[in-house]
Amino acid sequence: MEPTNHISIHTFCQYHGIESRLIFTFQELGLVEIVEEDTELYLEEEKLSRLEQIVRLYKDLDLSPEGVEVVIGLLGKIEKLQEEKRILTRKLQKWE
Amino acid sequence: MEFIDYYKILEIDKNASAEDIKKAYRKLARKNHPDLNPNDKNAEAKFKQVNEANEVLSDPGKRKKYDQYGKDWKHADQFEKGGRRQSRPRDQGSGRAYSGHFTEEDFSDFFSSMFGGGGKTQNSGREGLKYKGADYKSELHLRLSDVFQSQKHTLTVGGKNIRLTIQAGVEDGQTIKIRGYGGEGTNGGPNGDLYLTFVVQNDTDFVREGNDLHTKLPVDLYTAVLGGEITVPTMDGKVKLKLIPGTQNDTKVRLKGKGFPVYKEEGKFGDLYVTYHVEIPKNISEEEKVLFEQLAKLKNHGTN
Repeated sequence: MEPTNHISIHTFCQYHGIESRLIFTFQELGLVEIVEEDTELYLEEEKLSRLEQIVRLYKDLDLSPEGVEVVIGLLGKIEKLQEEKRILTRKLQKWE
Repeated sequence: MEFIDYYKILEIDKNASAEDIKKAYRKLARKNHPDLNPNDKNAEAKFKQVNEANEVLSDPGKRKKYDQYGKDWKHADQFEKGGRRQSRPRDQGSGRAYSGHFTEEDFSDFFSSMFGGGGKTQNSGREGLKYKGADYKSELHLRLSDVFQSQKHTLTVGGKNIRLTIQAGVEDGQTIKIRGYGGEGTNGGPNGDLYLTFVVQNDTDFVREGNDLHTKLPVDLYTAVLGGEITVPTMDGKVKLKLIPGTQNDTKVRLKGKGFPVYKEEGKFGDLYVTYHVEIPKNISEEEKVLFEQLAKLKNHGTN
């Protein structure tokens, strides 16, 4: 197991030019997990790229946090469907 | 290097207002956003073009210069008297997973010859901030026959050479993370990571399903009826199989351990499933026909 590094919410928000309130909104929607350590709030480095994707969707596409939640959900579904399609295509090859 | 029509990219005309440009940009950026079009290279390229077009047209100074020199852009340098062009090494074969912030690398040569190397200025408030570098995404194309055994590869991503041992049994579409081979961190922050996806092309006659392999094997009618020996090709050579008399079409047999190596479990293999395809003779001679007719008569008088 690799050790998990933590990034403070403060640093993350400063870097991305967002308010920490936004992170808490994403947390309420179940999109982000926040780790508390010695009264400081952190994000897990492993999950940073996902959160960065969420922030990009929010900023680049002008979506509301709820809109981002819908998009993330649909992207997850598409990924699952593509994986299923890949497996089925492979199975079909047997019959050709 | 070709002239790039930024108006055409944003699908607007030359008299478009700042508001029109913003609207057009937003619309096309939404449509082609890499996060909404994962693994779609066309969308990614389009997204970059749209950003570049917006970078020029949304800035009154740049737009003026672009409009002024228009198609004579090649002479723009002469007017400017400055060899502002910079050489910019490009990374081969790696895409930026992190598309949110553009650097000059993401803009075309046309852009830099006209406006110099500088792209979008980064957000303020970042100076001195220690932060992890961008993650990179890349693909490695392999053949199925290659991944039957572990092998060493050297790839170049972001100007760095990475020596990799690709374990036998990697799956098509499998992604591994290589720590620290992404973009450089800012102000001493850790480097980003490289996500490498294997694209495994099947160059064999086997169908792979996880660790198992499947194949169809033609068996002639006489061997199927009378029994005998047949040769089955496997990934590591041929094996001989005994066929019992009266072997049926579509019979499936399992050759244990003759499948594909299990990823990261040395010495462990999946199975090979062989389906017999009994071939009925199509064109038979007169003599054969007579013999088949005799067989048919025999059968009719038999116990069945």
